[in-house]
Amino acid sequence: MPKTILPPDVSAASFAAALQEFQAAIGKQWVFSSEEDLELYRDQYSFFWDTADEHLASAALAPASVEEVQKIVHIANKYKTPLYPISTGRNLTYGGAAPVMRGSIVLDLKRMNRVLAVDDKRHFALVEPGVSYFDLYRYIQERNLKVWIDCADPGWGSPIGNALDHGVGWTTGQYRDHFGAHCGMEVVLPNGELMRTGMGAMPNADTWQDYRYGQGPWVDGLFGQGNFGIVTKMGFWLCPEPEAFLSGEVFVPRYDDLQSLIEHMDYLENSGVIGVPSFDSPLGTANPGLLAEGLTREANSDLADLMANGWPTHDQIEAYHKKRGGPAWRLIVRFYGPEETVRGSWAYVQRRIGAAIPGSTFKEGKFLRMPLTPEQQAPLHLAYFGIPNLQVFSIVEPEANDNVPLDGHVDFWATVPRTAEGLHGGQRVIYETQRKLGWKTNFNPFSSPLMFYPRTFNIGYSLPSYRNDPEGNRKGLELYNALVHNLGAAGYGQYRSNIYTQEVAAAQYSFNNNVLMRFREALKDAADPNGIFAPGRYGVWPKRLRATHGRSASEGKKA
Amino acid sequence: MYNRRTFIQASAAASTASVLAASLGAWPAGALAAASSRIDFYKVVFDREHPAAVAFGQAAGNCGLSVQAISRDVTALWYDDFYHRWRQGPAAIAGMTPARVAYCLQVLAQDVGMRLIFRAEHVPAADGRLAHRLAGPRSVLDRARLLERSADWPSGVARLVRDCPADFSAKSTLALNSTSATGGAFRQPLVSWVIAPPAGA
Repeated sequence: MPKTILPPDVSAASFAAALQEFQAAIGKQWVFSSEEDLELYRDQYSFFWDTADEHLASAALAPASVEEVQKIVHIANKYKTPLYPISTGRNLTYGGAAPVMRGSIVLDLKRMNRVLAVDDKRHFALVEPGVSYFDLYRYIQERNLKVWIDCADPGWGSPIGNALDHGVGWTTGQYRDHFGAHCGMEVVLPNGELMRTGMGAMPNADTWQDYRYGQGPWVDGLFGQGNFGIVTKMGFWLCPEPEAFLSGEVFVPRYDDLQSLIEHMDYLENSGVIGVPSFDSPLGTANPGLLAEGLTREANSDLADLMANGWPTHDQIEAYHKKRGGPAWRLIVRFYGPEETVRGSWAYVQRRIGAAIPGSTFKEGKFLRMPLTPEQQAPLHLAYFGIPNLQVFSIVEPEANDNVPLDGHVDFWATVPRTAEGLHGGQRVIYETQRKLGWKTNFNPFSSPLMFYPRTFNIGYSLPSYRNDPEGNRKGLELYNALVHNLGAAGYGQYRSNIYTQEVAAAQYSFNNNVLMRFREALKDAADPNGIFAPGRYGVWPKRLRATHGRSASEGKKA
Repeated sequence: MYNRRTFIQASAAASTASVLAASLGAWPAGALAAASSRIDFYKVVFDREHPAAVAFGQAAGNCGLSVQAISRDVTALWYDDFYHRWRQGPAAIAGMTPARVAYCLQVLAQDVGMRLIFRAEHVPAADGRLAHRLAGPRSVLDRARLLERSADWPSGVARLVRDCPADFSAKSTLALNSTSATGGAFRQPLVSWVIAPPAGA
């Protein structure tokens, strides 16, 4: 790791003076600038590991309170030292604790880790950024509160950090969109002022975590994937602990039943009948989202043959299906609620789809009463039950997916319409891009989407990254960028991006001469004139760094 | 906690018994670190699904270390055990596990000020032999060449771990190719590791 990284256009003397003031503000022991300490703020899965382009932090600061954050912001304005806030910094596949701009000072908020409130009558929580899903779950369990969280995989992330990055979970639509389930923020602004949003702006209001809009333009969205403030508190709506859980599988016989099955799934989820569904084809490879349920499949040479010479025709797909036999598609439905309701909902699903899709078959899955015993929990993918875990690390081992090496992986996930045409369109772009660049393709007409958000499909996968293979990393980044471009040209955007690829991903949202980005830049210039908050995050550069994209003048504009 | 029953269960899960053959006497006592400089381990972790890791765990237990078996997922061990222990202060751990288990514990241990001090990858090669890639204190790596010749390399690693000093200053790397075959005991790389508080912590 190279020594002594400086923020762009900040002299060594200025940087040293800033560090001294930071030490005075928060204590010397919470200002990190040694090589060993900064090792913890590297992107462990970086495509640029140990190269001059690696996005390294120049220092890291760990304040313990809002007041200390405000002091830091004032000093950062004085010296124009950019701050890159992180909560737990554990979104490894998207950059971890490393900044978007090389030389930024990481503002590590892990010490601000209080659960401020959990109300199991009004069903909300109020937390600080250093609280992890494990922390919040433990708080709830120790007090026997009857609410569920919806957690990301893995559970060591923070509800605030995950929500602000538009992360997702695994239960029902209204909760697994983590930003969508938030209610109220406290934010330190670039000038150091403290702001509360929604009802938090009204002194004495007791509805900060109940009604999120308050009155007037709602600004919370600026802080999601944004660089307009440092969120120091955030409220979340929680799900009342359901009495029971039931799952079921729906199989439909024909390849062309796909669109109809998707429409039924949409109806069921958008009417609140089912929680998070899963969707795959027994004719394809295993759905990575279902590996914890033991649904791995053997390699299929017929499928390899089908995909060997380009995207197959409908007739070729039908012939493949005829040879393989069995149902073409499977939908897994999950119900949360009282026993009478979940059993009734499952009966309704069977009646509805059975009447509409000839030959559909049904298989009842697990029925469980809450709370779960440890024995009941053991075989489950716990995130479906709001239980944080690290199971994903035992699933995504190299032998389970030969695209994932020991070193790391960088995920990309495109948002496509919940239609057969949208699904196949996205699959085909990925397949053809992989082939064109000489990659072994893992996409086909039966590739499974994931249901991150309740109204779209997400398709994507993990690209390998290496510690000792620069050429492998170059190829990985080349593929990533090509996928983003090609998917973007087809109208399929990334819902979040790695620190190295946010700019190219943001550039796909270019309607009307990039007016959306220009509007964000205008806001950035007004709110953060010194450009100290997370320069470059999701492509939004402050005015003073816009031309160079965060490179010092001597380094020139980033290619 | 390690107890006899744990190992009976773990051993029953192992597909080969050869790696369990103890040959601890093969390690020269003179090469061992002084007892006073050794790390005081809270727990040593092994994955019961991997025969080599089971052998490592048994050898570590025979060395007097407190051993804990897992099955790929480290959530419960951290959530129910290490979390509570580490709230009282840093406590060193070691293990032989799949790489991602080691990485999870390394990240979680960082929160209480501990660091990875020793790491060895044990990678099966196409010819059925093993490559060992080690990084850690020079004094440990100086003794690691014995791994090249020993069929009971997991026991050798357990000894290296047991004698690992809390020395973060003299890091070195070493790559070895074992002359003994794995016997097809495992296809997936395993990692041995030591996580400890820096000296003085």
